[in-house]
Amino acid sequence: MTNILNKLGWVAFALFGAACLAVVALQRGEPVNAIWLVCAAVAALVIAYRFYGRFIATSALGLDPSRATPALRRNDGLDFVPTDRWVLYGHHFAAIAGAGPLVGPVLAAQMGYLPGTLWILAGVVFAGAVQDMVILFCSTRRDGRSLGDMIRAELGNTAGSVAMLGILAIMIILLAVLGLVVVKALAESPWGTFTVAATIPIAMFMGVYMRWLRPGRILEASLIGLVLLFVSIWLGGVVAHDPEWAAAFHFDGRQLAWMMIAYGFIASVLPVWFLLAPRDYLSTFLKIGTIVGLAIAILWVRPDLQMPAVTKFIDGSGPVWSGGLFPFLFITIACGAVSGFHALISSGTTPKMIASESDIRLIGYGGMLMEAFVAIMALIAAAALQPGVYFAMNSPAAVLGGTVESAAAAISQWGFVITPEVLAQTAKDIGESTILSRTGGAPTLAVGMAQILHSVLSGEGMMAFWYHYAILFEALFILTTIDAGTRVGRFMIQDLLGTVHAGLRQTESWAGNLIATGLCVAGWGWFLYQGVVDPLGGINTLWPLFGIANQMLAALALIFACAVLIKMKRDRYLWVTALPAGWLVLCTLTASWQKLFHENPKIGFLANAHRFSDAAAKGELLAPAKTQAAMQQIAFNNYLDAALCALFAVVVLITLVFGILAALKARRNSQPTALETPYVSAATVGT
Amino acid sequence: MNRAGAGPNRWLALARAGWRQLRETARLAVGVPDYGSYLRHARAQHPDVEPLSYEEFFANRLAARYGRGRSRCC
Repeated sequence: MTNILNKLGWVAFALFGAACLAVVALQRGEPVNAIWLVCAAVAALVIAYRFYGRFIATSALGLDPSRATPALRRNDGLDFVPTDRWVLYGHHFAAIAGAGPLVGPVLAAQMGYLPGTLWILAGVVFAGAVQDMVILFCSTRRDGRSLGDMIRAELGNTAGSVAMLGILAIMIILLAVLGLVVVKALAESPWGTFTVAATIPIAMFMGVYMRWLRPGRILEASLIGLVLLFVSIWLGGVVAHDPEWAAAFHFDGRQLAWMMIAYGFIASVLPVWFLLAPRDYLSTFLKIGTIVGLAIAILWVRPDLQMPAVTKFIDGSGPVWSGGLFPFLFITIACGAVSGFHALISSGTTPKMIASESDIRLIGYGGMLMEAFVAIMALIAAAALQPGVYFAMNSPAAVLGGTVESAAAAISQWGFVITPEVLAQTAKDIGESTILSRTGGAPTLAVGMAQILHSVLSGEGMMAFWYHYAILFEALFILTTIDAGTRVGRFMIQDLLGTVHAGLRQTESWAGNLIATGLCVAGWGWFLYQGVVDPLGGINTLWPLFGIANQMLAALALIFACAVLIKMKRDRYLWVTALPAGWLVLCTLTASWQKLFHENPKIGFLANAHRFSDAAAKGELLAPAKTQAAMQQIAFNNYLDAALCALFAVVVLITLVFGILAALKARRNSQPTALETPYVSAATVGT
Repeated sequence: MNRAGAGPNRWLALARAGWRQLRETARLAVGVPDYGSYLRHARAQHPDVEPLSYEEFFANRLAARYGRGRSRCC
């Protein structure tokens, strides 16, 4: 009886979700309230967790709670610790949530809110959460080894080395694009620049506090840090309104790019307790707090979605990023739907703390569903803006012209009616001189968040406060990613350099440290600077490269997962990982192909390179280049982008070949050949 | 839980447990696992070795989390 009631309950819940989704998808004419989107998303995610997540756990992977996890077998109280599932859920979610799921959906909103919503929901259920969970499972069964190690062991040394190269390349492009997001958000903004700069001394104070004054007191130091952060937002407003101080914190994109490069270098060679660790504490707590706060605020305010469900830009002619719905929507929204980077996290510290295999569904699958929910909230914040404001903020200056009048005229011509007064007033409300061409996603999200939070806590000047709070929130964890990521890149490069000169591998060696850090910073700094001077606004060029890289890594992880399923003799469930793997291979290869060979210079790197080199050969100048040298430089940059894109495609193809070879070999053997740690009963291991 | 002491005591115990869980979650989110569990483990499994003090434990975890940089997500 209860069984039938239970089933009826789920049917009713599914119908409710379907009805919400129908409202979101089918209503035309009047704006749809965001609450429908929230309900549709929650219903889809909960049902996916209950049914598909459970199917993968029990049938496809055959999770075995009686099997001792690495945390039980190797418990040392430090790295390997059996941990309460909800505590570990928090740890895992904090590690996977970053800027990606916030920026991608904002950029994707140029096609309307519907394509992005559908891809986030379908992508997370069938690809993203599956990847995170299966890799977490594989790593848990292999003593918590990393993705690169596991690929090396299961697919061979060559595949492992290719994967490592791919991981280094994605690291470089990730740091460049995140750096660009911050540069774009802080350019010409004394308030934002002051506030973000203030986080450096604040973090250093916390570092000293936790090391010398009150060692290890995280809560105290973080509370002091948070209070100081809020003071710095307020002080930023004072600075911005004082002409002399404002001038001291007023920088253009190029200056900020150089500052970011210098910062990345210094921050990653400083001792970790001094800057990196304390700022990571701040950014982690601020991130979780803000996500929870934003969810509550959206439910409280229930904004209308001003953006149409689908805009005319699905044909690929949009100003924010170029290229058609397929494949570029699936590249633009990487992290919220499926993110290869999570495969690195799922094979990092989390598998070493899983207390029972039965927790893998909650942490791996459930953690990623929460990330998708964050992406949906970012999409809501962007779609709740007036479309005219959205396009004013995200279109390149070359399209909008320099004034609110020219921008309003251009945007109204696309069918999104907006007046110059609204554009000017919005800038005034958020305490900035202009909102035109504030590309990169972060400022748009900040305005969206500010409008929503302002409806909860309003007051004179509060809109500007919330805007800069949101900018700070994003910049803070991006900067943490930049110095932590530069360190990761540095050690990868030191490993590579070690093959040339053994001394350079020594992590204590100052020469090795400085050379490797310099190379890493130069790598991402190059792409960052190129993005800042890019004629199309940089994000247009770098974000697709980053998306391709991230999906490439996901494809790698899922190809590996397919090979493991075959090696485990679980061929009949192969479709669970083969379906998303195939889709991601298709997306990354099509997108790489188009980025390379598309005849439209806005899409194809080679076409754009030829455009500039041909014009240079005729002695002409194309904007924004002002000299022949700059023309050559832009052509060269495009060739470099093309080479990177080709590299990503080649990495996917090589891994695919090795995956198929490993699978065929496993099929010829009648026994399971997956290299798992031997079974130990959980009952025999004391905790 | 003490049934006889139901009422305010019960709520207080619940609130304490909730706070402990929240604290533990927040600390692990920045890479510091529970020190009490470590102590229990160290004393039970390695009684001959002096366990790390909290300060040493904290420094050890900080170095483990950030020493080689940390693959953070995008």
